[in-house]
Amino acid sequence: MNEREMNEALDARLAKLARDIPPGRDLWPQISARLRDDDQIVAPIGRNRVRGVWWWQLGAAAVLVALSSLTTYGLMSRQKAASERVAAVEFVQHELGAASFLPAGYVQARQELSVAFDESLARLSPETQQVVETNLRDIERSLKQISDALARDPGNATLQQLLVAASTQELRYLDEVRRLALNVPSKGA
Amino acid sequence: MIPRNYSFCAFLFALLPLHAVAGKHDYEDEGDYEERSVSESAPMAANGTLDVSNVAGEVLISGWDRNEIEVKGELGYGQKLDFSADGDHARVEVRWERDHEDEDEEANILISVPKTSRVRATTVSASIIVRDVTEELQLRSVSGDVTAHVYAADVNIGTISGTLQITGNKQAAEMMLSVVSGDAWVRDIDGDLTARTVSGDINIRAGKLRRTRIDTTSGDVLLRASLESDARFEVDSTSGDLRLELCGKPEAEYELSSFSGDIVAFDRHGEARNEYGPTSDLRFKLGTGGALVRIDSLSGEISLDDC
Repeated sequence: MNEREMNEALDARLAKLARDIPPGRDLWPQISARLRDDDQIVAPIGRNRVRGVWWWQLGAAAVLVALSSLTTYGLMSRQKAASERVAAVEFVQHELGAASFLPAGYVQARQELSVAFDESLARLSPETQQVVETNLRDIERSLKQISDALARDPGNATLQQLLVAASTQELRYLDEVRRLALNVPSKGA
Repeated sequence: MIPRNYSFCAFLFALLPLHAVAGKHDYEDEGDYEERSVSESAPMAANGTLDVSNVAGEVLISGWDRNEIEVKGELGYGQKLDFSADGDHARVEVRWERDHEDEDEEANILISVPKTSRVRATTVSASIIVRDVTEELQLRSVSGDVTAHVYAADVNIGTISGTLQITGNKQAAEMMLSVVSGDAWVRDIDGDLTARTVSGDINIRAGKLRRTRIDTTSGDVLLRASLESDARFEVDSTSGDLRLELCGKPEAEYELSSFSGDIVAFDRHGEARNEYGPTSDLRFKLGTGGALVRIDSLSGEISLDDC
């Protein structure tokens, strides 16, 4: 069996899989609760002291989102995964240049969610796809702006906070679109 | 928005005398190619759960005092209604028949449920309206507006390109809102609020907030609220402008920071603090400082005033 035949066989097997595998539970409330709990530990004034906690928060969020994403899309995404992951890594590590400011968990979560996101996007109507893509570019542009500023001023706590917020926003956005698209008929909406 | 809702209700109620046939139906066998009125009802526990999904059109979910679910409305060409209810859980689903999908066709459905039901609704190209339901709401729409009256229960609402219009009842609750490109209008809410937007604007007129977290990428945030004495109020923006009014100048620690946007808070102005970038900061404390107000922006303007 050559590579093309193997791909076709894999396609056939993937086509038989259930399109949706709902996660066992919604992980976001847990993430949110943990973020709030950690916030309460932090003294209200003193940005430098909370910097380490922010990284941990994003890391925790990223890992949990990755797990959620994997639960839902692990099987059905293999075919496109290789190329999409390369694109995600390229963006994060090179174009965005933020890898040095963000934890590895974010990069991994973004890769996984990007794959799930692309699968979900195909279910949406062209008009909705355009809205979703436009807004994703908006988020990526904001990440790039923050990252560029941070490259000039690595110790800036405001920029660090904004980068964490924008990164979390992006992960939530990818996950939200994925969830919404689960209910879209396969022909699009 | 409101006039539209009323006209839709009037339309549905006008249908009721004509199509008051209760009981199980297989609408798939009743002529696939005509618009059809539907009518279903079944017993439902006061604390039951309703799951709704709809493609194209409008769903109005209304709470009432009867332990019963009733579904009435009209399906468009090529649409099918699936209805099931076992007392504790009811499911109402409008979907396309196989091989049929016409973007001009709409299903308009009125669902009456016990007012203490838990409601989960997801629509595609269909608006959601919820009123008089006092328990937990989970509402999601792709390309549809969401309008809801909320009470003292958790609320989780999101849209991609629709508009959110939320009216609270001045009762403390935990609310999570997510919009992408549509705007959100929220009023008369108390308690905890988490709101996220990418490019849509968020407009909030709240009562007393305890925990608030707002994230925006490019959408503007307009907010007027009071804060609990131990509140945490946090807003992050990349390029969206933040025009905030905190009534009575709450006793709080204030930390406002922007990389390149202007900061004005209670007539105080941000000051440049970093030799490598144009970041400006404004930090001060009012009264005992029991609450925390933290606002960060990359390039959006920050404006904080008294009400």
